[in-house]
This record gives sequence, structure tokens and C-alpha cells, in this order.
Amino acid sequence: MNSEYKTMDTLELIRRTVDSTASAEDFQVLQSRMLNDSETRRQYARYANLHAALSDGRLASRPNAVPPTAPAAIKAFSWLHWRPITAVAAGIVIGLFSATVVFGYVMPLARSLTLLEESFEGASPLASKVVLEPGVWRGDQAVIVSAEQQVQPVSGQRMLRFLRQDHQGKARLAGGHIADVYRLIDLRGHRDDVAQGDVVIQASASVNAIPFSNEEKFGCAISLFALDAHSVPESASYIGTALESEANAMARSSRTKLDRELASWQRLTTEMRLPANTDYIVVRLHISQSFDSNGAPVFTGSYADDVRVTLTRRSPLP
Amino acid sequence: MPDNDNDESHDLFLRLYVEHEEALRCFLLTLLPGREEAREVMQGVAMVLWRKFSSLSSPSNFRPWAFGVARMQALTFNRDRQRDRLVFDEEVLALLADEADHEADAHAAERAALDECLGKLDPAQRKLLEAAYEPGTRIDELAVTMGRTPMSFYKALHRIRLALMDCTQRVLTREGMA
Repeated sequence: MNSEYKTMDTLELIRRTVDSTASAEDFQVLQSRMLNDSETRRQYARYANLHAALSDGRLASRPNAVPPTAPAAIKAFSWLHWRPITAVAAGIVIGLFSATVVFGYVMPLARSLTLLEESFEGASPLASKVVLEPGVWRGDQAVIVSAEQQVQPVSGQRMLRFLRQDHQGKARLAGGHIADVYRLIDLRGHRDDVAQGDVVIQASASVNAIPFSNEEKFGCAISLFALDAHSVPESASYIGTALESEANAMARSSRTKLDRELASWQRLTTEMRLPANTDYIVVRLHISQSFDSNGAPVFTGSYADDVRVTLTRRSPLP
Repeated sequence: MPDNDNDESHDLFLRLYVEHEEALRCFLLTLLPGREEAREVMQGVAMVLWRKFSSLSSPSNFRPWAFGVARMQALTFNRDRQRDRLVFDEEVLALLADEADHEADAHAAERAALDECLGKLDPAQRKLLEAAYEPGTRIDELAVTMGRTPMSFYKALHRIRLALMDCTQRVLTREGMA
């Protein structure tokens, strides 16, 4: 063993391992120390716990605004094959309930495609018991509102407000209730790219709430479900159950507890590597409310805004 | 436990999963240091938990049951990659899993204290941290864009993490939780 390891700080070895910059020898030295020393294991677990917490999206601030895109004709193109210098200048904007769908925007560090930018500037999402279809929000009752109850939209002039859990399709839980809204995104136009197996999808959304009592707790999350064409649930009344069982892959942000700060929005983020046979993505915004006593199954002031979904190419895992 | 094919079971699963997901994710990131690897395994863990949910004896056992599933998934993942990657030996992984499991509450308290500590960072530190943990970021490329060498960037990141660990410990001591 190299003599430098005799004096090397264990924390530096831990750092290298966590950051994936450790050499094989670094790693073996650390493993040996962890095998024989409980304090090293304790240090490693604490450091990794911090790293995990920081990786969990709590640092996420609102992403930079997407630069303006010029209209271009829709045609079958492979965004992954675009060269950044040309791709950054091209794109197309399609309004779907005023959601902005931008093709061809390329991020500085990786070639990316923004699938959805939703600031809820248009019509209200439809209620449950309707067939899922691309371009519209489905799920539990929600409405689009302007600034209200001293909550300002984080993007644009409007935002989504959760209204209530839909009891027609859900069991009532003792001590709490849950509301979800869903958005289906059709990826079949990108089948060839997705089939390469090196595409990662990232989703983020901002959430906020009016101050609530100490007895109440709110948790929010954003989820992604990758489906093939045969697995798309037909009706919103089944999507809650069917998504988990039918999805080829799924990911969810960490559950973010809503704070009582009206002025600041909290950001949810998640990502996952897409299975090569992905035809559709379902994005789910989820809010749960728990309370000690029997509260009314109504959300009096819980909001979501600025939902973004992006595809990025990333090297396959070895 | 109810059968998986009904809304009550689905909602109960969601509720338990939501409650424990952060702890599970952090547990996996301890056993599998690479963020990508941990994410990949987390997806598998979620699927297994849901598929086997009906075998859970009681909701109060969800956390140890889920940690056990996560531990096995991590072990399987490491076995598949033992030859070509730096992965923990099974014995080390088992010891680490015991440590992370045993300290799960303390780690959860540290994560809860983290928000206060993040608020105490100066803007430059916060900016560096946010950039480093932006999904998809490559540190070597990021360092160049910030006018640093990758090594100096990693060192700066390390110092911030250590400062945050000290801070969370102080917060917990102040609150009588350390």
C-alpha cells in the first residue's frame, strides 16, 4: 500500500468515494478501514447521509428561464442528433392549455429537450373520470387561479390550486387525504432516440401553501411513470392503482413537507432513466394532508406552478 | 394486509411509501455512493415493495421491511457489478447497512436540521452547492465553467459539506437531540 495512505484523512477518502473520484486503491483503503473501525463507518454513513440529502432536490432553486425559441416547422427530427450550436436556435412552441412545449432547446452541459413548461396560464384542468390524453391535466379536482390569499404565482399570472380528493375513485383515509393530478406526455415521436437507452427524464415543480395549523401537515411530491403503448391506463379513475403496477419504471421526488412561508415556493425535482421501450410518460403532482382530527377533505390553499419536464441524454450505466 | 388490487391498499401503500421514501433513498445512497446507481436501485425497490406489499404483516413494520428490501436490492446490484466497478464487499455493505439502519433516526434529524444550515451559507457557497447538485451535472465541466480546476472544486465542495455537518450537529445539540 502506498505510504501516503498512512496519513491520509479518512474523510478525504470518503469524499472521493462519494464523489466517484476514488481510485481502486483509495477505495480498498477505505473499505479496509470501514471493516475494522466502527468510527469510520459512522463517519461514512453521516457523510453519505448529507450527500443524499443534498442530492434530494432540497437545494433546487427555480431553474433559469428558457431562452426564447423561434418558431419552426414540426417534422420528425431526432433531437439527440442535433448539434448544440444549431439546436439552441431552433424550436417550436405549442400551446396546450397554455402549457409551453418547447422542442429543441439545448442546455449548456448536455443536449436536452424540454417537453413541458406549464405555468397554468390557460383553462382549468378537467376533473376525474375522463380518459387520459396528452396535453391536458387530469385527476382530482383542481382549478387554475390568479394570485389569491396572498400567494403569488411563481411563474406567469396563474397557478394550479388543489381543491379536493375525489371520493368517487378513492378510499377515504383516516387522518388525512391525498390529491393527485396527472399529465400524459406522448414520446412516440422520439421512439428511436429513447430506444438508445441513454435518455434521462427530469421533472420539477414548485409548490406553496397558505399558513396552516400545527395539527396539519402537508407533503408534496412529483412522480414520473414510464409506460409502453400497451400499458397506458384508459381512465383517470384507474390511474392511481394502474400506474404503479403497469409502469416499466417510476421515480418520485422526495416528499417535501410544505412550510408556512407564503413568500417562498418550494421546488420538487425528480429524474429517471427511461426504459428503451417507453412510449408515454405520466407526470403526477401529489399532495397529501394529514391531521389529527377529522378534517374536511378539501384543500383550502395548496398550490402548484411552474412544472417542467426535460429529456437529457446521458451515458448508459456500465 | 389487503390485496394490492384495491384503492385502499394503494392509498395505504402510497402513504407509507411517502412517509419513508426519503429515509430509504438516503439509506440506498449510503450503500451505493453513486447517485445514478442509487436512483436505479430505488426504482427497483419501489417496484418490489409494491408487488410484495400484500405480504407485509402490519403497516407499523413498513420501515424495517422496506429497509430489508432495499438492502437486498443493493446487495444484488453490487454482486452484478462486483467485477467492473468499485463496490463495497458484502461484509462491508452489511456493516454499513447495520450502521445506517441503526442511525436512521439520527440521520433523519440531521437532514431535518439541514435546511437551517443551508440558510447560513454565504451566497457563493450556496451557488457552488446548487450547481454541484443540479441533476445531470458533471463536476469536471462545471468546474471549468466556474474558473476552477476539478480538484479545487471538489475541495471546496468537501469543505462546505463538513461545515454543514458541523452545523447540523450544533442545531441538534441546541435542540437537545444530539
